[in-house]
Amino acid sequence: MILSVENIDQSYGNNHVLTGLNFEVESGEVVALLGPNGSGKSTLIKTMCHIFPPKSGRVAVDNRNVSEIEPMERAKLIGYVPQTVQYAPFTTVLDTVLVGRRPYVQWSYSENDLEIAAEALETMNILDLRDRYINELSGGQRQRVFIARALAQHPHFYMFDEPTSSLDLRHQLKTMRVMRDIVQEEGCAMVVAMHDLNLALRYSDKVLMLKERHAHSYGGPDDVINPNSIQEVYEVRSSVVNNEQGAFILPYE
Amino acid sequence: MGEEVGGSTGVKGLLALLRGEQCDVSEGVKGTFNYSRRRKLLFILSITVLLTVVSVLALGVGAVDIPVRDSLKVLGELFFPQWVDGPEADYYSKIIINSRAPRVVLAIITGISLATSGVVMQGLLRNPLVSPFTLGLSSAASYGAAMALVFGPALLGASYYGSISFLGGTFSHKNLFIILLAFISGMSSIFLVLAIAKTQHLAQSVMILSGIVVSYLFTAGISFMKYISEDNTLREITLWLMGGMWGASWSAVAILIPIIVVCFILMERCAMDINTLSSGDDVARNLGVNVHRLRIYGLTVSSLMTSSCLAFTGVIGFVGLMAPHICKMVIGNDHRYLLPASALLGALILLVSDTVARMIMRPIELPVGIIMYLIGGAFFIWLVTRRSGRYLT
Repeated sequence: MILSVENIDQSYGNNHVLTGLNFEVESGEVVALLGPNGSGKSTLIKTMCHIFPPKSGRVAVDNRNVSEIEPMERAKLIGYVPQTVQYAPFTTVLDTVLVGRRPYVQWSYSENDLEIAAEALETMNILDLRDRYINELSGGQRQRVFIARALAQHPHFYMFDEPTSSLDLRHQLKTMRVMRDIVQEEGCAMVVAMHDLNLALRYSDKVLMLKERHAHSYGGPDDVINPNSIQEVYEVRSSVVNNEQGAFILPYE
Repeated sequence: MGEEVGGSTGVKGLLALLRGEQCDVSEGVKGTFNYSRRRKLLFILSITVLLTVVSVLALGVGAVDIPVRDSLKVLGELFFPQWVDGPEADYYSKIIINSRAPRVVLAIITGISLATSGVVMQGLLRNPLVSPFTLGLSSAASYGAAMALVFGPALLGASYYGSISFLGGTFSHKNLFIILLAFISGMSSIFLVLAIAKTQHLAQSVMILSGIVVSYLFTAGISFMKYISEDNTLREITLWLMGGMWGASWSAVAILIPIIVVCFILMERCAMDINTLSSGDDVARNLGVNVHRLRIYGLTVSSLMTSSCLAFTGVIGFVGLMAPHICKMVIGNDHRYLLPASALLGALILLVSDTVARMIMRPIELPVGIIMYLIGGAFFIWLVTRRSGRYLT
């Protein structure tokens, strides 16, 4: 399956956030969205999820405009994890993850729904927290619960807005590894907005770098993430350090 | 609800669940799920039993005390005349059937409607402090009712005092007109609050503040209505504002029951969608829910429910706040269970308060609104100041 972003413009009132953007995500790919604050990463993610339909242009899955797909069917195709998680007190972790099954259930959860939720909890390493209230958890644990909710939703395209922002180092690497594996094993696709250039370098197949509403560069991580583009987009100097684990970006003032 | 998980279908599966089969938390996700479901169902069941017991006791309490045994006999005779003999004194039946039973039923359905609206509003607006009372809906509905009382005779002429027969019941034009104006006024208050709060992205504190402001606006309107009304109408309005169950009659109950039952079913059908909203508007949209439509629909239905009850009872505060919060603390935030649990607990709280109001200064009756302000005010302070739960942002 291919999700294509075709010449989209997006704005909030008179404030233009994205202009004339084009790119594609194919099954089996992890695409990293990079760019400084306010460059339109979150807006692009929400536009692709049809949370904000684009002002012009279109987002299509296999050439079908997503705005023409039934909402519940669309929910089975595209899943979303927001940058800041919102929650209602006294909701258990299990109930939160089960909400991800909404597109598949009318009223009651089946045995299959529970198995899928269990698997998602296991994958995110939060099975022991399943009967805890979400307001009792730490920020990082909560973020993992929300990723598990998206996993339970079982979409073909995962759209993550800085999913690792509250996670510690170990869980950042682990979450990216898990997502990478899921994409490979299930043949789905993932778009992740992130700030960590090294995570993008290590775990993505393609990188879209945004600058001031436009795509600055798009391609393989090694081609896109280099000292020149970092200087142009982030206005930060950097160097590439190579060791046996691969290439790393070292930014400095 | 009886058909969830594990091939346990219908009543048989439900009984197995209540006995605690496959409810071991250590048995993984399924055990945890069943354990929590059992807990929710047991809570709902206990409140139902308690509500039934309190209802029977409430029938016996008043200026004339009627023994529980006789209250039961009156009910027995009413429903199964061929098997149960009547009570010892004939007037027991008259007191219970003509005066106390409609009052108990009115307290129960008002409790149900206020608590259900409270849960729905809190879920839809993702704000734990909203309720029909805090959003100004109660004052607005009372304003509508006051308008109906003051202008009804002039607007409708002689037909104001008429009635229509429908589905075997007789409904007075006056009552229907009161409900209509209370609903229109209640709805306008909700959308006014929403319009104000929307300018600040539905921020929790702004919403509460707009509720207070709107409430003041309608209170000013009520004062004006009082000022221009005649003596009899003034007394009627004043009694209303205290919030009481004096308006109880079988004809009032006959109008309200279908409205409340239909509204409750409509809300229960949205429970799964309201659950998705707890993760935020964007996530709910991504899960296929039309958030805007759900919000308008839910607020309209809950306004209808509340306004129509308040048209008969006047301003009763805090039930819509207390019942949902107590239930959330016990059974969590799954609206499929939270709605019926809160509805029943709301009914219980209001019925107990009304019964206390009838007993406390016998033979004089206190308006239940006063009792609710006392209990509810204390609860509200506790809710806002408690450390865990982080209620206000």
